[in-house]
Amino acid sequence: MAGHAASHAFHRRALLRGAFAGVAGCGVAGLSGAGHGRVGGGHSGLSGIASGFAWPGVEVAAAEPAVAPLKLAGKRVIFLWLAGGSSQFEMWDPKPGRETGGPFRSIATRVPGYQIGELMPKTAAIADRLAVVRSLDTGISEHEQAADLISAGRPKEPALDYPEIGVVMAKELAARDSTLPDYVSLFTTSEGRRRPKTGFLGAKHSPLLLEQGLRPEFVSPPEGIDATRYAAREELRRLMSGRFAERRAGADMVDGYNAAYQRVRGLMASDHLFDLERESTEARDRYGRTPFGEQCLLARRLIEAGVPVVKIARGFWDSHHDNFESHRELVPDFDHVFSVLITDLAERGLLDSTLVMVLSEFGRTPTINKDMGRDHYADAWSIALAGCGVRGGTIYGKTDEDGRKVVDGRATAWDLAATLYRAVGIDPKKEYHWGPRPVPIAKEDAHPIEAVLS
Amino acid sequence: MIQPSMRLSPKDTRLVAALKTPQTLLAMVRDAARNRLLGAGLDGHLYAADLAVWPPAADMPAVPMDGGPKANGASNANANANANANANANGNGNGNSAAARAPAKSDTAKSDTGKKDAAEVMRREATKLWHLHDNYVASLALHDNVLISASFDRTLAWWNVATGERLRTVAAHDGWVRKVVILPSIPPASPTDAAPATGAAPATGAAPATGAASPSSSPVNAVSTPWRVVSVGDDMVTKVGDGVTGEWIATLRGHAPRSPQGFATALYMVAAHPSGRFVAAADRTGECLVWEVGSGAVAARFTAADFYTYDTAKRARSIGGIRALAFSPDGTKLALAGIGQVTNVDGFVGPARLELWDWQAARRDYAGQAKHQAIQNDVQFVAPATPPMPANPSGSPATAVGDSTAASADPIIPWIVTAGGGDSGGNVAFWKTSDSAPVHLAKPEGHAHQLLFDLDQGRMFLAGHGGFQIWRTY
Repeated sequence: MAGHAASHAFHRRALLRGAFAGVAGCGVAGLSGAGHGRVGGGHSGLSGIASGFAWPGVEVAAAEPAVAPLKLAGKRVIFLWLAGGSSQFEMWDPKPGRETGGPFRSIATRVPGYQIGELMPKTAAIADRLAVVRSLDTGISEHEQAADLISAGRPKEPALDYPEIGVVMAKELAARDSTLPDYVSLFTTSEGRRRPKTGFLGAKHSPLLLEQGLRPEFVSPPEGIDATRYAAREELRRLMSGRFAERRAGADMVDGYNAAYQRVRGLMASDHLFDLERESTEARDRYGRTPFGEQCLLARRLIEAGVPVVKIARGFWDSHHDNFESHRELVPDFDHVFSVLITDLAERGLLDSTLVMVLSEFGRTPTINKDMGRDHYADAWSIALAGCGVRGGTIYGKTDEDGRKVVDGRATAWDLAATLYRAVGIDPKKEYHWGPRPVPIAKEDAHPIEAVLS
Repeated sequence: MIQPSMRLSPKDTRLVAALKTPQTLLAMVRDAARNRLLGAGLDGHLYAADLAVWPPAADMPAVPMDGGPKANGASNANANANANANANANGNGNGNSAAARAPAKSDTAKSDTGKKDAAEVMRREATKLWHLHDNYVASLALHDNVLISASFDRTLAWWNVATGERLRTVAAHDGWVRKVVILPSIPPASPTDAAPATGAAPATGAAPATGAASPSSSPVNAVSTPWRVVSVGDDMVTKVGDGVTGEWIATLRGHAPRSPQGFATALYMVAAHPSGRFVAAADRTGECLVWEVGSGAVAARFTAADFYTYDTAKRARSIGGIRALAFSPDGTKLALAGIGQVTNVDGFVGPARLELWDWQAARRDYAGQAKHQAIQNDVQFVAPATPPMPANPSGSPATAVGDSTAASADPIIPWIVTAGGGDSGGNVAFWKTSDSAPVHLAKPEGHAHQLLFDLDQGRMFLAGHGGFQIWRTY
């Protein structure tokens, strides 16, 4: 396995706790040790990659046992986000022969008794590696609000902006000595494009966004600048920024800039990871040359190299019109790429340490509308998990014969979030602190779905 | 009395009767012998709409018809068949007594399409006949007393339309069957007459039909002249079958199995040339092939690229397609309908699109669009004054189907009508080739999937979401 061996990974928090304990008032998200944060005198005004600190004036801290990083070392997450809302009827919870079922049949899987939509024969063949939750009841069926709910795993609050699950995972799973991005988010299609929200953790935890293609933009040195000259320039920049910090500004601002430069340098050094030409023709053909196939191949490369969280959003599942034509096109592509990804991760010994989750903001309505479409439906829908911490072959929850309501195993968005955290070894009850307020990572009344966890 | 040729005034069209079905209808034929429409769709059942509902008997023309051809000749081919057939016959005992009832203005409501004259719409339930398939029924075709249904269950089924008896079921395609049509006549099996092939693979030999019954098993086919069915499906092939025996005669190939970007595609539509000599089929990517049925040779091949949307930067979806296809009554033109470049995939927001091609020259003669009207699922030439078809259908295409320059002359093609819908609701678009957009848009109640005309009585029929609709056309 390329990248960081688990035993060598050095968790960021472990270092910070030792190196920066007692540094008060710096306001850098994630840089403080155990204990409560506080409202202090931070700075605002930076944005994007150059912003190295948290919500203005607020320190974020986390109380955690010192051994936690060891448990998390080497764990990875691939987030497959089917933007717009994929149909559970055409995928995970088919109802063939019912008025609500649509025209597709169901097929047997490797899990006895579990039938899956006929458009997913390859997924059916690896169903024993999956856990499917068919009983999500998340209530909200408007895109943005539902995406916020599922992504953060809890309802929005006016007074507190929560980070998304992927952001929290990246923060928790990131290794201190890594020059790689903690979180890479790929979204090259336009529908529902949403940038993962860092909430009160601050912009420092913003993912690297790949929205225009599969490789980061503007990370090549200027033409005519060789490595030696580039290093000299960087040394000069570092010296000058140090002096600036001493004489004129707070260290927090400079820390932010330095962190940004550090990330950029890491990105430049790892640019080769984003180059799919380095993969064999066989591997590229195996994943397929579709956008989703190439994104998933890139995700595997990044995960293998040590990037802890990769999110891939595949758009245009919002099939208000021609739902069956849409899913007839999209599901086979998903089926192929998803099954290849799971199999490839397993063959490389990565699946046990990599959580793969397939999420949407909601499912689709049982009722087929006037345009042969299905509309938004959050009362009874499905997601799938595989890999790290997941008990393969588990089909959890049940909907009624028409798929209109959950009849067994109802699960909420926060139950799902707690399940995901638990799968990668993050305690859902772990607390960050927003000023004096302790904020558990998962909602207080969240209950992990134990049945799907190994 | 208004002459049939005068009975189409698009701006005066209005809904007069709606016959509701529990689920959306995708297909419709006119069973003229029993004065009814037959429709089927999502629930796999066959439904009937009584055509006595409008116009009321008192308003019927005393001397019907002035000899002008019906707008949809193929669907009305059975008009003289078995006029005395039992109108109450059905396969499940539900009866279709509504077909014999006088119109009743029960549960009336104003049409949202007839605001100018505030006409009342007669509303009732369509009559449920018998179960056809365990999956969606995408298409129906009628030949004499034989109804053929095409289903997403991958089969075609033959039915005695008078009794509901299933005559046979035939495995048709490896995938959903999208459309079935009946050739107006048997084409000559004369390879020497074939138009030059343009690179596509020739037709293969006949494939045995699964479950095909012998001709004698069908009372309605006991003494039958040969006839042909043609179907298309998601295996991307066009198949020609023997209507009497159900056996496949030829498989016509040439459509790519995947979109250029590697996604699933679909062969949505097939149309039969008025001579019976050619069939055309069109797919999601806008590719249209015309075969000479007798030889299986490709007679024409062209791509109407504007029906296909794929943009790598934004959507990465293969969407759109030619959803409707029809030869002009003189056989020289092919009308293609569907959706233009899609701007919002979710709601299929895009323009309704119509193109008219001189198929022999692979030349587009007309393109029109209707902003935001989305997919058009059916297209019909409505030409009361159309000249009769040439008597010699075995002649070469250039001479057999008329003057290829005539398409630009509106007297030959007075109207092309399309029906469909999208985010802005259902629509029926009336096009003139002199205009780049529809001359008139009618707004039916719900998304329309099929369209038929009976200008003899000034009627337009729609099948789609909500069931059947009967419209007055003047």
